[in-house]
Amino acid sequence: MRKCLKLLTLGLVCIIILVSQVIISSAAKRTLEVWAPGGKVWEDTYQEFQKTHPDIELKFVPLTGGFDERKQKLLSAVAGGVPPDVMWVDRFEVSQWAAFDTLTPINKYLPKYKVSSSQYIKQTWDEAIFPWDNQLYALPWQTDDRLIFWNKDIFKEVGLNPDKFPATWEEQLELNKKLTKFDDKGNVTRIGFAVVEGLGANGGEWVLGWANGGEYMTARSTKVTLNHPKLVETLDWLVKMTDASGGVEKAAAFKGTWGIEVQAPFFVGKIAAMINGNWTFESIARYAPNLNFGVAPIYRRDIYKKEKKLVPITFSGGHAFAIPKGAKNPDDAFEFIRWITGIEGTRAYRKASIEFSKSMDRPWAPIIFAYQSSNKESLEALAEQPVSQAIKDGVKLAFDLMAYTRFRDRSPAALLMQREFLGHARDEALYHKKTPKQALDDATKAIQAELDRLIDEWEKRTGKKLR
Amino acid sequence: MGKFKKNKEEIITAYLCVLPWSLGLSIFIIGPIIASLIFSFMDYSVVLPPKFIGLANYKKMFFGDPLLWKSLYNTLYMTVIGVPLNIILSLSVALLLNQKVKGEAFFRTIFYLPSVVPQVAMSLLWMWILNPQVGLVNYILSLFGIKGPMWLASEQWAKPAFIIMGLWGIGGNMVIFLAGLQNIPQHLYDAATVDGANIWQRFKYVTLPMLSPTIFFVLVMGIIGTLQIFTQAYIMTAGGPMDATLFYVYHLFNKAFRDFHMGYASAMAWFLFIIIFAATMLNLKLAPKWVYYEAE
Repeated sequence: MRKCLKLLTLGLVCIIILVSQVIISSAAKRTLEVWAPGGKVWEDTYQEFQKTHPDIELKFVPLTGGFDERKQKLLSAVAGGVPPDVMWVDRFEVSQWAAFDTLTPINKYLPKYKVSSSQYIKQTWDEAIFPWDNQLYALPWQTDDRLIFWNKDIFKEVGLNPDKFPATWEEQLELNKKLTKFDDKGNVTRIGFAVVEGLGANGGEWVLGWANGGEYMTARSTKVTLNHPKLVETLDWLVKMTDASGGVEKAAAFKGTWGIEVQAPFFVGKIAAMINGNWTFESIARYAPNLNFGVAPIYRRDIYKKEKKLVPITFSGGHAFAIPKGAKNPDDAFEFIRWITGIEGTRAYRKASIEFSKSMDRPWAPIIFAYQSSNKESLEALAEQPVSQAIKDGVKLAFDLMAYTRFRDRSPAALLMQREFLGHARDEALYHKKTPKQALDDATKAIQAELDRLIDEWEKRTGKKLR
Repeated sequence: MGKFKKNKEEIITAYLCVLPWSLGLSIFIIGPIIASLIFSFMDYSVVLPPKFIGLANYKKMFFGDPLLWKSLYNTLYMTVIGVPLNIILSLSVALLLNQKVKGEAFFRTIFYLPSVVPQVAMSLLWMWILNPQVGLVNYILSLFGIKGPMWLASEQWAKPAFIIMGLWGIGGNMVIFLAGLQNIPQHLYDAATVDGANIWQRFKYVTLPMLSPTIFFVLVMGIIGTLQIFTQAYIMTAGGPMDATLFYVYHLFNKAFRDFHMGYASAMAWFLFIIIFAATMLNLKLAPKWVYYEAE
């Protein structure tokens, strides 16, 4: 027995020595803990950083799991007082993190590291600013936008001009009716024009709301305006579009038959046209290289109605790198986020992703970086790629449309807004439980209540006044 | 003296041996339980320090959150309809499999097999089976000229779809019933047969009373399990369509891990605890009226 106790004591002593050794050694080197995506391309990029920064020891922890899970991990780490030095965040959530006092404002680092807003696409930079205190909380890394894609063969099949996509909502509704197909049992076998998130489209709601002249929040994000008449009108049109392709239940049932990759609904003709993201180009190149597709911007409906002028509009999201509050090594952390979002990091990432695609024998198409000058290089790299001219033109269009893009309103209630507008409230209208107006009125009330609570909390904590 | 010392040593050893377990219990189970009770009276968003707000969470729960009542209704619907159906079906299958027939072991395995499938895999599989256009269920219905419903896409049929899916996993209860059935002494049946009881009478007057403790156990566990239903809705419907499958624990999960209203979610958890506790108490209270324990 005594032996057993002695062993236990010995074991404890060993552990204490070990732990203290680890603490001492880690203090001696400047370690930088980064929580960011993993995988070959990212790891190659981090290695490049390590190579050019030998005095910093990069400790990289890959983020796993979905959106919810990643957020829970980061939140627990920050709450527990052991945050990483750098973390990868969804840019539209930066305001929520900032409102919760979980991120370090980085404005003070900008002059010293010669970082300025003009280097980045304006919208992506602005999205990382928390509108309640006007501080910058992250550096934007990548972005995306939304366009209209259509299948030219299907257009020909029903006798439409395959090179032209109708610009007005009335025409698009007619188009949807014309292109949607049912079998003899009344099941949907093809959706004409998919505009609803989750039912074949991505981001359609947001961009159509703006296209119609709607605003979701006031400029400083203190008041929810989701029941804006132009947004009500937009939702009403979304309901009409969904009803035209069989109604939401049939569309959801149809969705259950969709596959992925080469079997994706747009590639096999189960969707004739859709609003979707620029990442679709790489998918087409990889899974449906022979697809005869057309692509066009979404246009501002309000301006077109008044002046008959076509002005594009699109919607961007994306990711950013931020420094959590309480990070042990904020200076190196800033060097890291500057490097990885800047010209060196994006170059390294592009190089790694091209090499990776090549090694896997896949076509490559660029993502849109927030860092402007890097995008020029991306397009040059694309020119040398063995992908079709249609894809090259499409990617170019997607890059050009960034000049017209908008982002979701920056607000700590952004996620709730998204759950209502792309989910709960929208579905109440799609399922005809409520009128679009009623659904958005109710959602506005619910989001405003949550926002007021968050404003109260923030005002109390900072001593500032927003209203 | 020496004996006492030895004793003391033994006591220390004993404590050391249970230490890992009791540490685990207190740190990871009892601690959080107490913490959640305290948080239920606080406004707590994880990253900011918690603030005491008295009964505000409970007030909001009972008077300011219609979704909570909807989710509770959905959950009770699953319990009231799903649990009895599950018991009836698993008991019926157990009775059939209790017959001395050729290949009984094979059939028992077949019926038990679905219970081995993890919930996530089962959910993904059933999304296909229940697909209104290409799914197996509606195909079979169509053979009889019935136009199947929209199942998971329909507000009315999503919950029944989950119940049907749950019936696929009756294997677990079936095994428990089988064990219970084999504990019924054969002489009771023999005596009943001699007295001229037919099959139905033997079932009603011998099998059911002798099996009632097993049924009681399955009922209590079924109610507790169903009140905590979560996985299927999380994977298959995300609580939709129109909140038709927003179950209580799912709503709680949303509040806790999506909106970070930990205080409110803690209050919800305690309300659920009270509901489960009350349901179990009611069951225990009613038990003497129909549960027969041989030993009594």
